[in-house]
Amino acid sequence: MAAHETDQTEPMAQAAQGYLNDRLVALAALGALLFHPLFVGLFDAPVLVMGIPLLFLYLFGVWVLLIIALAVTTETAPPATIERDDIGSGSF
Amino acid sequence: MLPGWLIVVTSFGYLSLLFAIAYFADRRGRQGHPVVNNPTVYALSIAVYCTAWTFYGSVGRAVSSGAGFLPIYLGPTLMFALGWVVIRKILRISKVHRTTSIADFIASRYGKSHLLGGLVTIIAVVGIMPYIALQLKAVASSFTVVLHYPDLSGAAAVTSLSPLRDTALWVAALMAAFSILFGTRHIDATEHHQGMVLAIAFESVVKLVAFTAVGLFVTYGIFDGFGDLFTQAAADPRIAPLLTLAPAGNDWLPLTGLAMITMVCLPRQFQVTVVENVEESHLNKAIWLFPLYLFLINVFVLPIAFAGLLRFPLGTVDHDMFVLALPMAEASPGLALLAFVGGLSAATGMVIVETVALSTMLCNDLVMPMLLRFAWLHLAEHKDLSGLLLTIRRTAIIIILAMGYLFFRFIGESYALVAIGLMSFAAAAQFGPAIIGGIYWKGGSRRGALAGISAGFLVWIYTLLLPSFARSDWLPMSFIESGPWGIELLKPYALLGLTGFSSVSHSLIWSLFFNVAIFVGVSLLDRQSTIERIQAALFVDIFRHAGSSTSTGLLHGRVSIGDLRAMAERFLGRDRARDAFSEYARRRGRNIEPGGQADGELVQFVERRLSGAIGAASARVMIASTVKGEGVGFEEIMQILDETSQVLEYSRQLEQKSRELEKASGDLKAANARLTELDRMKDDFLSTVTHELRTPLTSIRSFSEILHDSPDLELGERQQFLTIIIRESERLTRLINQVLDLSRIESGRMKWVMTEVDLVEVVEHAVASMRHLFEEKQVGLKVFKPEVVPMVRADRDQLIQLVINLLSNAQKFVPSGTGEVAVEVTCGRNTLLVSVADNGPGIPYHEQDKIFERFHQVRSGKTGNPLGSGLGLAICRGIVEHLGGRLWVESTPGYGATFFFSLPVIGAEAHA
Repeated sequence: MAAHETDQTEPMAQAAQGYLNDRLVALAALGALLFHPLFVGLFDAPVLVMGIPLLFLYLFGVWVLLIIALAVTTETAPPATIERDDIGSGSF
Repeated sequence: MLPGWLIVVTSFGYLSLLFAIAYFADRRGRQGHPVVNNPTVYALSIAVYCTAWTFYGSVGRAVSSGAGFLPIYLGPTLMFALGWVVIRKILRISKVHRTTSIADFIASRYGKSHLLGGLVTIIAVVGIMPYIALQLKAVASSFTVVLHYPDLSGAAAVTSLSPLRDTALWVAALMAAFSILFGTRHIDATEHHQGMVLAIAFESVVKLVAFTAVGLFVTYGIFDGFGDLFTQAAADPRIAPLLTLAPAGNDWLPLTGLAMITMVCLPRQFQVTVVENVEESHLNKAIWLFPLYLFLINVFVLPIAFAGLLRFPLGTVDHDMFVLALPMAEASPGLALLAFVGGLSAATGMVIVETVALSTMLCNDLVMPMLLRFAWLHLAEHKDLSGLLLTIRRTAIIIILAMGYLFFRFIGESYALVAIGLMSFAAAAQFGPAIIGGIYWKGGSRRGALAGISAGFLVWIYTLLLPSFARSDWLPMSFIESGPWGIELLKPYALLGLTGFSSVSHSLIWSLFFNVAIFVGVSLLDRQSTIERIQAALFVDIFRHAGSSTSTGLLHGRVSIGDLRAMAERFLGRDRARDAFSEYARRRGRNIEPGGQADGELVQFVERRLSGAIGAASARVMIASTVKGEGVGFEEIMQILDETSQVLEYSRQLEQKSRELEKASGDLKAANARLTELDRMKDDFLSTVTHELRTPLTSIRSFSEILHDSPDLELGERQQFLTIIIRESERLTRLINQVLDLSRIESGRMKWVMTEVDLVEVVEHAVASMRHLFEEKQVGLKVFKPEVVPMVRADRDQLIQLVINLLSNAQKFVPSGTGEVAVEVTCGRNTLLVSVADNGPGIPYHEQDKIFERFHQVRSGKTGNPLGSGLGLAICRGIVEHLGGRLWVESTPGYGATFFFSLPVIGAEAHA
């Protein structure tokens, strides 16, 4: 029974890691897009929002949202299945 | 007033605290309670990215380019979002291959090349040593500024101080001591420097706290929050343009890319992110924690910059020193001191990690390979080389810091040093294509990497370093303004006419362009050596190979375990070598006898351990010198190059399949041809049979019609016609019987009545029944036979039919009157032979085989009419072959023909 369980959790964990991989890449792509000068330029106006320049509000706002998204994505992912010993010792 | 002694005591007190923390962490680690095995410490140690250049310089950059300082921190954020893909792969590769530095990583990837490792080391040292000088200068400058508290304008040029009063010297010396103590404690670089890492993490906290404290003080102490500060700034015509994207110019994109690449290319980032990483899973947290750190330390950059601009008249205070100057101007000595300590921590953290990283590279990838190459005999005399390794590293640390200090003393005020921050980033970025290409593209070759990095570095020198010399008045300014020898296209800041970018972006675009183009181009034209192909496969497919396929020993050869161990001891030291071997024995679950032969696995294990100490390239040389008959087995390569071998195997199978297919199709073709032939034969058979049937039928019908239509025919004539009709009917019957016989024989449906038969009696019977016909045609018939012959097993009636057929055949062909036919029976050893010879016209040679085929009729030479049905001989052959005998003909045209058939005598099988 126990063996049966590990057989099933292993691929599931791997699949979950695959999702994590895809989501992080997607976030990086989104970040690259939002920080692209063309996109940033849209918010480049001499306007103060609550006393803060729109440009800075946009840049720092997107930045912090990206970090929150990264945190949520990695922290909700299942723990990695790699054992420390397996990689630390040169895996011969 | 801040007394000088207080600043000095604070500085040295802070540095002492670092030593204490590092000592504590190292001791806990030795006792088996590691304190750095923690993702938060890992993420904080990566924040060594933020040096004094960040702490002081970000504000300076913000003053000149507004939001333009941000790409340097947005880039790493994006890179860590990709961390799971890129950094994790580098991490895994480095752990498996025990990589000690970035030079080692690149050298190892491209076939453990000494040349490449050395080149990367030299570029790293050239590009980064001035950056260390810059940190020392930041320490000295900030010290001088704080020392003159609260006087902001009286700070003397830092390089004019006497060396003994120069804080930078003392700081440099202490950093050297720290790096030596905690960065080169032992020689296996992959056994982490826990003390150093914890101290760096602590420094990251200090600089963040200090900067944030100043930021909060400025924003909420001097001003009334962000809104107030930015509103005032927007109202100031000097500052208002900084609130837009315009000052950042075209540099936004290149600098973001540059910062991304440097996350994996800067030696210190590689050191903390990869070499010092304890557990791969720590990366998960660093993916968001490190960007968060960057975010936090940058939140107050713009407020401090704008506050400084609003607060101080233009030109009175160095923009880079706003962080210190603002608390001082507001008479807040404690905060000023905190800011100073923050800057100190940013500088020292960078210096420590960078010197350790560079010293490892210098030792493993430059000095050791040379020593091993040029002075091998000398080294061989040493029993223990681990001490030598440590000495080299420690000397390297001292030299690096000494040179850094001298740089700062002698060119400290030059443009070349001030601009070095981004310049050294751009130099390190030259490793990017080789690293990223190396872990995703198997085709990248050693020569490609060498050429690419060299080209990129040369372009970097030309477009950044030389112009900075010109700006420092070491070269004529005309070099920048009108290009060398007045060639406009070669202007170093507008190479090939590219303008609109800052010098760093311009250099980055061109250097990376040439770097990538040449790396890819040369690699595509190159042929990789075996070791390059193996390393490429191991690096690119690291997640597939890890854990299983690396178990194949790459080194084929003979070496005793004792020799191997002796060598390991020389480099690792006796204790570590013993530990390593016992660890190996424990893992493999078997004892290792010193006298035994080392298998490939053990050799590889030792090579990796040595890699951790002296770098992959040197380890390779050492192992190769010890293992006799070193070479890579073909099977091993195929196993390692898993993918390649699978593809090869697949294509081999495909080839085999296609060969089988070809063969099958050949068989089919043959079968088809045979079928077509059979079909043709069937058609021939049918047409011949119908033709043969029609001839007698026609004559029967014609004569019957004559009889029917002419009732008044004479009796004699009528009688003659009836005789013909009867004869033709008989012929018809015979023909049909023959066809039926043949078809029965061929299909195996013939009923054979097998008995013991006396062949002589059969021949006599046949001759007797044929004699009448012979006499009628006046042909002589003679029979020769022995007295007694053995019996044969046969169907008597068929046998008689066979002999009659042969006789009737002979009778047909011999001329009437002079014809003679002789029948002879002879006894062979196990067979009886019957021959029927005639003196007819004989059979042409080309016909001799064909006459036994069905309906093959030998036509008479004179009339061209067929003389038989063409079935007789076919039936004969069918009968003989069924009885286990043979039927053939011998004939010379013009001299008659002799038909032979042989039959096995009873019991012949037993005698055979």
